[in-house]
Amino acid sequence: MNCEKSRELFADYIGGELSQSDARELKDHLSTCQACRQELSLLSSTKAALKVGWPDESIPQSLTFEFLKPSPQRFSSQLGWFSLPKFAWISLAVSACFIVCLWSLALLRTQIQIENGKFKLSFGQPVQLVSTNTPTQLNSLAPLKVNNEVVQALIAQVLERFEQNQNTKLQQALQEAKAEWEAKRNADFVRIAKEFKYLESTQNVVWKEAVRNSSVLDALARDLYVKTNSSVPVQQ
Amino acid sequence: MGLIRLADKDLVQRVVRGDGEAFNLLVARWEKKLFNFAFRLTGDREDAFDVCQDSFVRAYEQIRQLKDASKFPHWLFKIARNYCISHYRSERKLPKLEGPNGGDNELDLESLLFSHSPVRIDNGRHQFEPNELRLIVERALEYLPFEQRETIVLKIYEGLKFSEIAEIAECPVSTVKSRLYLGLTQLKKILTNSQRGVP
Repeated sequence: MNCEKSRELFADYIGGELSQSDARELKDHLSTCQACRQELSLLSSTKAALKVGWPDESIPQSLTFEFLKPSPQRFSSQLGWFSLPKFAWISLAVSACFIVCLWSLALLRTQIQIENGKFKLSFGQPVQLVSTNTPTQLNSLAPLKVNNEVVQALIAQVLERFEQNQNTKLQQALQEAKAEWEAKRNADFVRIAKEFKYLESTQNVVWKEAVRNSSVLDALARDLYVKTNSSVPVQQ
Repeated sequence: MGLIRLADKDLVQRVVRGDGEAFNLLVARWEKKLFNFAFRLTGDREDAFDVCQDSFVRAYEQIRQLKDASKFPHWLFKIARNYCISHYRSERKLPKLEGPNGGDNELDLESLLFSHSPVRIDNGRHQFEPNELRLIVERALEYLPFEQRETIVLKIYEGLKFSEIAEIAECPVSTVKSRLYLGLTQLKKILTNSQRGVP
């Protein structure tokens, strides 16, 4: 190994990454070359002087990124509206637009008509109910007029029918309950009459038994009297 | 298992998933090394602090672009290195010379090197006043080209491998070795000259 090749390995030696084979060759060269030995010694000393001369310092102010720390406010915002996915935002926007359009049409008293397959839109027209005298045609649709009074009339009809149905159902229920109550009352009367007849019959049996017992007692008393009087001579 | 026991790679993966605390832990682990790296490259404490702060912010913004999470430290050094290059190009002037305690000890290099400074580097034994050696080393590093200074800082102070330095500096390994040798040779001359100033 010559001096040029030897100095190519100086960086590896200083950096601590010299292979064993290169280290062996370098050692052999340094043992015979005073100049390279001195050069490498000075480079090593320079490295040591650098490390000693400028030691590590503490950072003046420790770095902490406060915005990365979780806070309740940040957490709530993450769970709030801002965390909605994109399609949810689009859906909300479309729904809001639709509601605003409907509200605007209602404010302008909009009337929508479909006649002969043509779509007509008018605003602020006077209220006109659908005429029953208008002849119907097969190829055309009758004019459809929508206004508040018609809607109110329809709602009133629906409510009236609903009320009638409710009344009918209530009356039917009352009649059924009355019939059931009367049937139950009649059954009770029949049961009470039967029990009364049974009690009456029982009383008759008791009375008959009492009568029979008294007659038996009378017979016994008469026999005893006869026997007693027969032992004493009858004075004529 | 607490975050503090996790390796850098695992912390990086947590940061990618949005864990800010994991990133703050990475900052706590690497802020000192990054600050000293930037300080030795810029030569100014305040600039080094700014570089350090900007580097971490950039790292957080671009951490999803880091393909190999285990290379986070080298990637971070590369970001800081680019900030230092920007600083080097924008300043175009010698940075302020500061003592270890942050004082503005403005000294002329030549007068310092050839003064009666008792610096000796013979056989690795140093006889010096600590503050003076600090000034000599700072000034000597400033005289080096940026590439040589960067290589010496990464190798001598940070202890990176040649391959890792090559990755950060975006150059071949042979170039890194060459820069280290040339830089050390230059520094050796400066320090030897300072030694010659000893009567």
